[in-house]
Amino acid sequence: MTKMQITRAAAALVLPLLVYAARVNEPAPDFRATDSHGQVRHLKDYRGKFVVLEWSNRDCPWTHKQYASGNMQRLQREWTGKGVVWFTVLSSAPGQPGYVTAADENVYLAKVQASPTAVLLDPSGTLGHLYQAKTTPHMFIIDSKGVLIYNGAIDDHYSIQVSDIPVSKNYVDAALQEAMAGKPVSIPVTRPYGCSVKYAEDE
Amino acid sequence: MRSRVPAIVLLAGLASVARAVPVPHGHLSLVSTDGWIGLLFELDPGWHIYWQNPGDSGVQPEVRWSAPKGVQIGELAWPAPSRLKDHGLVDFGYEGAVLLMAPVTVPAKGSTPLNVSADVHWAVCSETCVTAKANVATALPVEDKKQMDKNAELFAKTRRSLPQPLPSRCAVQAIDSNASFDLRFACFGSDRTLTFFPLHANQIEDAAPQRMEHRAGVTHLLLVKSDQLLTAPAALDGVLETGEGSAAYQISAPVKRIGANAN
Repeated sequence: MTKMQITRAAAALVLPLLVYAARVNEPAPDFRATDSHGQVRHLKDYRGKFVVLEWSNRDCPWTHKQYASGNMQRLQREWTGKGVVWFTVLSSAPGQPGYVTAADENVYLAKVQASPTAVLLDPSGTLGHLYQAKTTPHMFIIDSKGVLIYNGAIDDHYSIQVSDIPVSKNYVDAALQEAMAGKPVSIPVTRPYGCSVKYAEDE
Repeated sequence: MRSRVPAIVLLAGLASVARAVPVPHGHLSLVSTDGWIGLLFELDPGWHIYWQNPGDSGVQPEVRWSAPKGVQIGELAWPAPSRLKDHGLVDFGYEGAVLLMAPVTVPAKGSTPLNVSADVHWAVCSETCVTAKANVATALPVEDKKQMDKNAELFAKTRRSLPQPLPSRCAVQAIDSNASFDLRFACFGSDRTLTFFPLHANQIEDAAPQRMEHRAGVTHLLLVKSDQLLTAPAALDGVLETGEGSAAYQISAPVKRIGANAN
């Protein structure tokens, strides 16, 4: 590796370790990513635990619906309380809606009382593209063996009405309940809904 | 870049056919003509709304009708959409002006105008998305002769842009070949540019280019399968556009799996 290559590699916040698609019932693509406190998170280190990936953009009305209602925070609290690792992922490119600095994000997390395990900063979109994350929110669940077991929407009501949350079927709750009880996930794939992930435009 | 949908071109210049309500990034009105009622969206430049399958992101508009007893309103008819590039993703939707129309029947006898209203929820997006709701109303029938003529013209133009049944001689089928579906048609010349819009999510990669080949009188449209497709569907349902200014068709292509030598 030349010095320049090393510099480039170090500059990237997210490193996909093996490139293949995120398909349900197949091993979830491994990655390293830096969180909002500067800690590097390596998916492989969480083998043995369930891992949730939540794509987020605070400027998006569908993300806002989940946070204004407290629903996302509830999910984070409840499932991390049961040993689940919860990574919120921010893939907005610099200059795009939802792009934030680490410091700004940490202030926001405290303000909205969010409690993910960590927020992964992905301004290059590498992690987003690795998982083909399309919307905010877009949810993925990885089981304790490292297999992707859910890919899709947060729930079945694609409105932005907070009042719809109590009558929605939450797919993340349902999948985690089933999988952690040793059962197959009955709805493993749904269409995610929301704003597009704000990747850099020149792709 | 963005391909213009015929409906939008046709509707340009037909603005203000009814009392339009200002809504986020545009105007919305409820319009009607004999046998039809419709939501006319007139969007600011750069903003779009979504088709019934919004594609990679977004949500489709929803309407709840309120009408007097005896008035029956059918399903919305969706003009063929455009592929809208969005941060490397592709959405299916409309820019400019679009009329989402539905058939309406009214009681045979009736002296007073019938008031119909629609509760509409939708998302309008550009760099960011705004969700909106509005209640729009109209009276059936439209009494003003000038207004009636304008509306009739608007509906007639939109009807011509609605997807038509595919002629049976087209004999469409979708060959399931590993990573893609090979959509085959027996009825189009090599000069046509075909674009398929799937009615259902997670069947094909919405953002993938659709490669077209013309061999021995058969047009092949190669659609990259979605990574999220767990089992092949019995049929690929959707809308086929055949080039600017040409007809769009509703298709339901039976999915067939054949041997590797099929290509």
